[in-house]
Amino acid sequence: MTAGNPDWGIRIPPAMKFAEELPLLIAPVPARLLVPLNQAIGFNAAALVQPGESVKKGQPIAASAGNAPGAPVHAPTSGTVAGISIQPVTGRGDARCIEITADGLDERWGGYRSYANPLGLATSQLRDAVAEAGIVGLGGAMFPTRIKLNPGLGVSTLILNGAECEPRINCDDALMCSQPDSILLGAQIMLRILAADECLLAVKEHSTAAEHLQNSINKLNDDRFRLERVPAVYPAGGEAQLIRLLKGIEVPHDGLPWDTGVICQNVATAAALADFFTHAEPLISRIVTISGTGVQRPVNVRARIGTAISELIECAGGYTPAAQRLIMGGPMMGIALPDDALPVTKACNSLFVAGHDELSAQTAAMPCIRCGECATACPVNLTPQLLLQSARAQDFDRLETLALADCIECGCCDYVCPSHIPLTQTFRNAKHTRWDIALEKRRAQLAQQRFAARTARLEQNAQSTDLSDIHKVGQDELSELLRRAGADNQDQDS
Amino acid sequence: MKFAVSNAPHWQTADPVAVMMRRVLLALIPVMLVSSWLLGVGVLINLTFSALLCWGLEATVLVLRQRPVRQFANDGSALITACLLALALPPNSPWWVIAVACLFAIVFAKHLYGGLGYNIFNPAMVGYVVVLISFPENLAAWPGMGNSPLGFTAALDVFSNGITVTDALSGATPLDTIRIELARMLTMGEITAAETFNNEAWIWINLAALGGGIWLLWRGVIRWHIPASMLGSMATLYCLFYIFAAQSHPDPFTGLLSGGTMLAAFFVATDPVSAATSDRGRLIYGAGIGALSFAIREWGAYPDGIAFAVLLMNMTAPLIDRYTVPRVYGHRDRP
Repeated sequence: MTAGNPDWGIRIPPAMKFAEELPLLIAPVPARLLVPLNQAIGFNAAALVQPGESVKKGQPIAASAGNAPGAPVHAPTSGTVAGISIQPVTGRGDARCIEITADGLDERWGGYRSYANPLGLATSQLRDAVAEAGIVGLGGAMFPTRIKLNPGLGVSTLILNGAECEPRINCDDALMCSQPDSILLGAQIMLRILAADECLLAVKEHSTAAEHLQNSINKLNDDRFRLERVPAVYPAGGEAQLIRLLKGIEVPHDGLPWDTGVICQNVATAAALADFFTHAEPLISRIVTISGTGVQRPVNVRARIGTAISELIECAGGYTPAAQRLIMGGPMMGIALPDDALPVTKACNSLFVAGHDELSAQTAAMPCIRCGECATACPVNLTPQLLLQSARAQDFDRLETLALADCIECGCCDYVCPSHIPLTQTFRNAKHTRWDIALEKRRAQLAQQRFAARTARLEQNAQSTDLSDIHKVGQDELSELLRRAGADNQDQDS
Repeated sequence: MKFAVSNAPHWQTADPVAVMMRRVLLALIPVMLVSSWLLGVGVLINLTFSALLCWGLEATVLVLRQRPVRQFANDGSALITACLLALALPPNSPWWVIAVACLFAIVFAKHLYGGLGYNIFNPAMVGYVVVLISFPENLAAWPGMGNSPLGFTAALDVFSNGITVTDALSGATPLDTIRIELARMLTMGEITAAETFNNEAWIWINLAALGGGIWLLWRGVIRWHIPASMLGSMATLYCLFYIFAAQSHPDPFTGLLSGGTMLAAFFVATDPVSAATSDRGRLIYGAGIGALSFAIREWGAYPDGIAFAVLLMNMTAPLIDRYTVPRVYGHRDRP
């Protein structure tokens, strides 16, 4: 089945070969790995190992405390912990990282076991395993899968996203070609955990991976699975966009995708889950697409988490003289990295090394001529031409009315803008300014409350003449102060 | 290895404004050729003079405003204004009429409001209306009906010295004739049966503009909403009045293929800067221009009211924008 053509988004000519034509390589295990501990949305994991300790492949080396949102991190190979230090991490600022010197043996840790039939396990066991395996959304968001598989409300449909949101990213296609059975097993486990009725496998139209998946579905003979072809429109592979295309449901602006009874998971997430059960291997590697005219030969490569990007580029034959930008992710939403010494994380689905010809020409922006192409392209139906006016005027009330917060920063408006205005960047800045203003307001409010409470208290104290009560008042005040200090700290953290 | 960084998106490949404008100029070529062929070499003189003048004014004002001259003077927008003006003015206008129109279009309507992208009114229409009000005799003198187009030397003579209306050149457009004769209580049948009535040139000119417009639609330079709603509302009104009072109203065919209808529908009303910007807004905006043009043609003092209609709707565009913001996905109501 093919979903209808959307009236939003942009069609980008497929300059990129499909996975069948791109080799899938296994990257060699490097001598030194740097494993960041901030590889999940939520709290950073805390190290479980000490420098000098030896670790095995797949051994948990960091975990988030208790039931806090986050995901554990595992040793990508066997070796020795060389050190724990704060290092720059791709796109996520600086974070604590564990450096491991590989021993070259790649010995497996014995703490996990494999199952011949994981579908026979109880759902609680399955859930625990998802948490243990350190699995996060591999589409690039790194949302802890454990939380997403426990939405706390009824879910009818699971969408497995293999429709790669961005152009030039192709790792999911490669995975669907090489491991269709693992993807389906992972999906079955997810269906069991969620007690969902159906599973839609979203694949981009023209993708050759669809055949492989369809064959596996036929073998499985499970009528909950259905293959869906998604038009090659960017950003049709985005979560909310995919739900709308396949189910015709809009994710409410103040809600989460799963409020619609639909849960989206990346195909690689499903495969990682299956691998944990069948091979007892937690999430320690992922497929990365390396493309662009800045590398000698584009490849898909399965890399251990923590491998330095520079070593991975070697798998693609190294840089060409044209290499201009190193982008993690795709050309539309990817993050330009300053340095290729950074490690590969669970979010790194693609490294796009752009040559001169693949970057937008640095022309000066012209004024907006209100052509409205941006509004036509916007996948959430915003009106960027009006948002731009209000953003420049710093009219935050109007920006709120025009739903600036709903902007997904996909970059479609920039792509179609004949005036070459950096719209997405303008909106990003406006959002941040708005948050800053809101934060400032909240702080002012708190200060005012504090002042009012203090004044009232002082007046009360002045009125009370009973000296025997002084000690008691002091106690009350102290505990009240402590309570408020705690509350303030929380405010600042959030 | 170190790399330079930049903000996403890293691709921005849309054809720039200058290319869009160039396409509009290309689409104007058929109507310019047909007009010159049927209305005389005066059209070419108009075009040459107004193009040079508009571009010169544009560059001068950019220098005065300390704007990047090369970037803006080459964007082609001033040339479009020049071409539209040249086509809207009668082919044998004296140079000062054209000069006043260009001056008001480029300097007043465009740059005093902030230049490209910031003008509330369509510059060409402002320039045209200023001279329409200031030089009514000159603006009423069209060749093509009851007189033949002037040759090159004669046209050049008129261009540099002007000419009085009583001379051989005087000629009303078909729309003008219809308006005057209807006021004299003649029926449409009588008017069109007259030997001197001939709308043929205007039909060809309108068809040429329509052709260029369709090409623009196909190339994606303009969208269908404004032309469709403008022509739609005009056609509907013409049909209604034609059905109920055929003898006192022109038929829809004559109405849509005379005067500047097609040129306005595809090249003037679609000027994105001064038009409404959402799809729904554009439908309202176009329909408004169509209805107002019809009203001015039927009941106004001017034979062709499209320029006034465009300017009136230009004024409403910000209001239309305000009330036609589409519903954002995931929201229940429109903003």
